[in-house]
Amino acid sequence: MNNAARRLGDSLRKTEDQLVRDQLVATATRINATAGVNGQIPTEITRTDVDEVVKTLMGNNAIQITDSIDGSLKFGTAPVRQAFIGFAHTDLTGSRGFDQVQGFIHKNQYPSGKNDSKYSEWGSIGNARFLVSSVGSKATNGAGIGVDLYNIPICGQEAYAMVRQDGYSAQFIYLPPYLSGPLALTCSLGWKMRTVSRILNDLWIANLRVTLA
Amino acid sequence: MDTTILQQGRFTSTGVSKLLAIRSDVDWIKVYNLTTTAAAGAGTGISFYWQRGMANGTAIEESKTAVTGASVKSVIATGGITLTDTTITQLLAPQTVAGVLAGGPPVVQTGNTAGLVAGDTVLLSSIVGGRQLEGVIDFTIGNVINNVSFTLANMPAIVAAPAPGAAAVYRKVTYPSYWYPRHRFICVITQAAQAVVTTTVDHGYTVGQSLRMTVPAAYGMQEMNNRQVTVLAVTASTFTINVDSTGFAAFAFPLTAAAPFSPAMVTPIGEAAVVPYESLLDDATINTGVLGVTLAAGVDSPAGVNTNVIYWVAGKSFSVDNQ
Repeated sequence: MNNAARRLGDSLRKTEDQLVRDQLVATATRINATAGVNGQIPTEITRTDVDEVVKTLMGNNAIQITDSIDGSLKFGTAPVRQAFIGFAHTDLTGSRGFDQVQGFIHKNQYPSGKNDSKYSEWGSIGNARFLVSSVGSKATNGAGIGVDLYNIPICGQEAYAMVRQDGYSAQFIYLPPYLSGPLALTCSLGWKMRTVSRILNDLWIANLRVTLA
Repeated sequence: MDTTILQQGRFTSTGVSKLLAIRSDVDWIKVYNLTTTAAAGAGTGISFYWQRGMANGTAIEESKTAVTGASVKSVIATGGITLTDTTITQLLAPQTVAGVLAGGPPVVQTGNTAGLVAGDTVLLSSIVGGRQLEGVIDFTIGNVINNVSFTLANMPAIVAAPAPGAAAVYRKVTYPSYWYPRHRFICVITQAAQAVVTTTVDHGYTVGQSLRMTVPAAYGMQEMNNRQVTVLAVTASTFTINVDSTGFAAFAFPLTAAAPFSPAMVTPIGEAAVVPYESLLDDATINTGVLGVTLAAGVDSPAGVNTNVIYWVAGKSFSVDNQ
């Protein structure tokens, strides 16, 4: 029962996560990566493209979400700028995604290591930090045959919000065997939820679209 | 609890496939064609059955023999019943593009237009000489000439790409984004006292809706970039906005040499200051995703042919064992 509840909890939050991501991708302004060299439309992510998004958001008076992190004396670390937050697919980790970008700082190079980063964070590029998830937005063959397309919504503070329903968000529902069948052989466990997300200011969010290098 | 009936309903066939929205993830469905069942023996399908474990697009069909009217059962491998989730944007198999003519609208030449009808949405890929049509910009198609060509209905004339390369393909988009109303890509903005905007895919916006215009430098008309506008009038593919663009720089869809570039687009935002808000359909965050099944149309298919009256009942099984 505990194991099932744990897995259902994961399912619930992933579903919620995916709904919000899909909404951000569906409604936010798109900026194609154009400075790469892979010949695709859009190209692979580059520092120039991230800077373009940052410039656009700052030009719209969006406020960055995380504070800067001061440098330390530890070898191999680097200070991290204050940043907007981007939500990316796990495919973009590694040398065909973020790691090949000029100025990329992996989270293990942050001055205080894990203390400065989120669990799902991969790293930062300029004034953007990126969280990755397996339910990040990906359109298989979206940019051509054999070329997958990735959406990276990059947000400032208060760009969007989850609206809590009055006294109701999610429920786990357990029906014991004597309520689930005439012979009381099986039970059921499930969840249901209501969720509403809203983009509060479309100027404070941009969807950077990229392909792999 | 076993084989719980979730939902039932009826519809009159229009001769095209039918999407049934069925809650709670259907496990089985039975479909009855009332019209053919009541008719004398005609060699047509009268009932269909599908359950999880069977391949998508298949069904067990019961049909009448043409002469005696007796019923016989068979398995149909295509044209049956398909589980559908419209929250997943599906791209159908790529089809080769032989050429793109400048037109006005442009004409896409292809040897395979199977399944395409006017109003469908397509994506183009790897169009050498016409790369401005890529970049995941989708297009509503217009006139379809079977296995010859189709037009990009809303697009202005372009420089032709007569030999677009061996890799050039189009793909049909079965379901667009499930959030309504959707952002759209812009292909024309006029210079007028009330500018008229044309989108590459029919937009679905309503009068009074608030929109944000995004116009990258590659398109010109930078005065329009980032403007919040209100829709004054609509047609299927155009809408008039409350912006005087007569003095603006011209808007021009980029040429192939400009690729890659970011698309010009329009994004629905906010709500109109008019009550009742809920009936305006102008909120940018309405989830229109549907889970259910798609019934194929045809003489031996569950959605039948035009004017057939169809009844259906769908259910959920407490457990599914497909071992």
